Amino acid sequence: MVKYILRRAVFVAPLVLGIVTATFFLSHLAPGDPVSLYLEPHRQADAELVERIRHDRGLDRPILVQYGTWLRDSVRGDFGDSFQHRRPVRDLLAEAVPQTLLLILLALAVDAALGISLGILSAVRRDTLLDRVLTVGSLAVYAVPGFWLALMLILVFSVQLGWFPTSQATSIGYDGMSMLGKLLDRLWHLVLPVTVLGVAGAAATARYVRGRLLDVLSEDYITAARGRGLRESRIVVGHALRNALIPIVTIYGMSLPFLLGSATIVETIFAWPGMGRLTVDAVASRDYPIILATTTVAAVLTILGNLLADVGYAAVDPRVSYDAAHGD
Amino acid sequence: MPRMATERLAVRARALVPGLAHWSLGSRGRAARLMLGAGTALGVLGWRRDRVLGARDGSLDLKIAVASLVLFLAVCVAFSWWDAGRLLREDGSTGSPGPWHLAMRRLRSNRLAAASAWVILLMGAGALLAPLVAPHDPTAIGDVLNTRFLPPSWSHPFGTDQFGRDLFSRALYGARVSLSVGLLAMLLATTVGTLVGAVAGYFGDAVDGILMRIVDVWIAFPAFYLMLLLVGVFDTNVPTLVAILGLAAWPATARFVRGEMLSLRARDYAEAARAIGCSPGRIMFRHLLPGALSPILVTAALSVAGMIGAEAGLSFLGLGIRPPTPSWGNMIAAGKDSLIHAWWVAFFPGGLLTVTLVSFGLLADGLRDALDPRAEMRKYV
Repeated sequence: MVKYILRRAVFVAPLVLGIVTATFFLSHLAPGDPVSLYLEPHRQADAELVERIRHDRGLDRPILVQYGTWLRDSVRGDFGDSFQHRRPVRDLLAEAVPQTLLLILLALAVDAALGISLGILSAVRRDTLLDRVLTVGSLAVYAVPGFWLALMLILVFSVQLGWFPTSQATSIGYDGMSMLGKLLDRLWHLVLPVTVLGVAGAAATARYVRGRLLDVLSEDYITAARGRGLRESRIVVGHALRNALIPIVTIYGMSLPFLLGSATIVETIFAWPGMGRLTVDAVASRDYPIILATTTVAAVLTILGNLLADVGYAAVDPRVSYDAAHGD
Repeated sequence: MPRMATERLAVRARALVPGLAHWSLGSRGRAARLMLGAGTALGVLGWRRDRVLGARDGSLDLKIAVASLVLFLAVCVAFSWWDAGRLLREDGSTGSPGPWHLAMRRLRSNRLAAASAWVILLMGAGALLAPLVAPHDPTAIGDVLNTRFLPPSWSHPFGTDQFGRDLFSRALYGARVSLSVGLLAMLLATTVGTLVGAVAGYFGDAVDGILMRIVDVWIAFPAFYLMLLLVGVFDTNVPTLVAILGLAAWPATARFVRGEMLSLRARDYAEAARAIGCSPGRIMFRHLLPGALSPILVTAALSVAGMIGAEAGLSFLGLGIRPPTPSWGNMIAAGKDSLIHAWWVAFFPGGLLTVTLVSFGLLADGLRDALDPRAEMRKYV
């Protein structure tokens, strides 16, 4: 197993190198003088300042040297200072990335809980009205743009009913709360953003689980289990579901880039202090060090997610051999 | 049954009125569709005759709208004439249907997919004809004190916004931007993806290796982050936005087209084409690519939804299409601030956006079933 993980991890290194290279060249795509990227917008730029930035940023050196510096610094996690925050980007990331991961992990949990149970329901009651409503409903929910769903949820649950807060990660008096109070307060603020982020995935999961479960339920070993007189609920949950769910690990791994993308919008709407909002704010104010850093981090997270999914798949499916080199 | 020459002539003459000849020839369904289509077009021209007559000194958008409506009428007449002639010759009997014909029939029998196709057509027609059918000027700022934030009513079906602009008209104009950006970006992503995938899959070896490593790195970036980065680097207007969306999305198509090509190039007919000395380009595009067309079409339908959603997302964040040009995304963003006292500002454009995305999703689902010949078989198993 360890060997398998290591072998998979070896493929990660060139990909990360590729990502860092791509961000470097994408940032040099910008038309005009690259110095303008590092100049704060709308600020009077005198020749002396331009020269100083050119020198500080190493923009007066050959492009390959610049590339080397960028490689060295970004691998160390040094992405320079943000213009608008006047702080190292690394510190900003350290605060924002955990917030986004929290959102995404909880959204995946909602996705799994809701998606799998609705998928089972749909498969067990196949071709009934309930199944049809769930199938079409899940397609509709999957297609609803997250930001519009978020606004409608805010309209109903925050504005009309007043159940949940409209934004921020914590209440105003957060610091004075007890431990339990803090936890509840955080959860209370998480409900709407996590719902918005989770339901689209849940809809996809439900559709997927339904299809897989129907396939598995028609297999011989299920017929055998029925023949032995097992209860239907036990057959579905104990026998069929286990097999049907194996590939879902891969699906969750692949859904990470989409979740990261949706999280940018969800975080902006709910004023959630994650890396999505950091990125959107940075794009709006052309804060390039942040944009390059978050894009790189998002890509690296995606790759790590895929790696985790591969390893997870090997862990749950006994048919995957850990030592492909010796097996087959 | 043989027909007299004069009788045939009478039918041809009747065919000049779309649908009339079909009706008398017994093709009632097609007759009804032709009449409905031509009738609606004529109806719109008559209803908005003042705008049609003023099109000569009107905006380019208005000219395009009138021209497309007239073109549509001409196509209706021409099709009616041509198809009536075909019916007369073949006397209603058709030969054995081809695979595309069968797929079309399967798509039509799928009620959800057919309804989605109609919704998309309607949305597209509304967008194209917006200058003709929109009840108000989308940018006209009315008497702000009296017309701002009016709730939905007969004269303003979607209500008005903070400047007293008619939201229904804005939504129609917004559809122009949203749909055209989505379609063009899909075309770009599909074309680039198909080309790269076909070349990589066909040539294999080093070409494949290099191209697929690029795809690997590209796919590692969450698409929306890549779009944000590019939006940050370039100034956004409609053409650059199309380019950004298309360039962020092509690798997915490239990856699966490559897979299809890998399996197709090993077929006997590919070998045969090589043996008779066809050039690689000819083998790729004439012999192999048609075999991969079905999944490409399905992916394209899905990717339109993805592109429209991405454009709306960027515009919602204020980074895509910028006001005053209406797009569904920036209309929803405008409604965000007035959500508490004027829910309709954000509700209707979002509703249209959702209906559009659901329709493309259902259409893609229907296409997948219709284009897969095994789908027909499965019914009998």
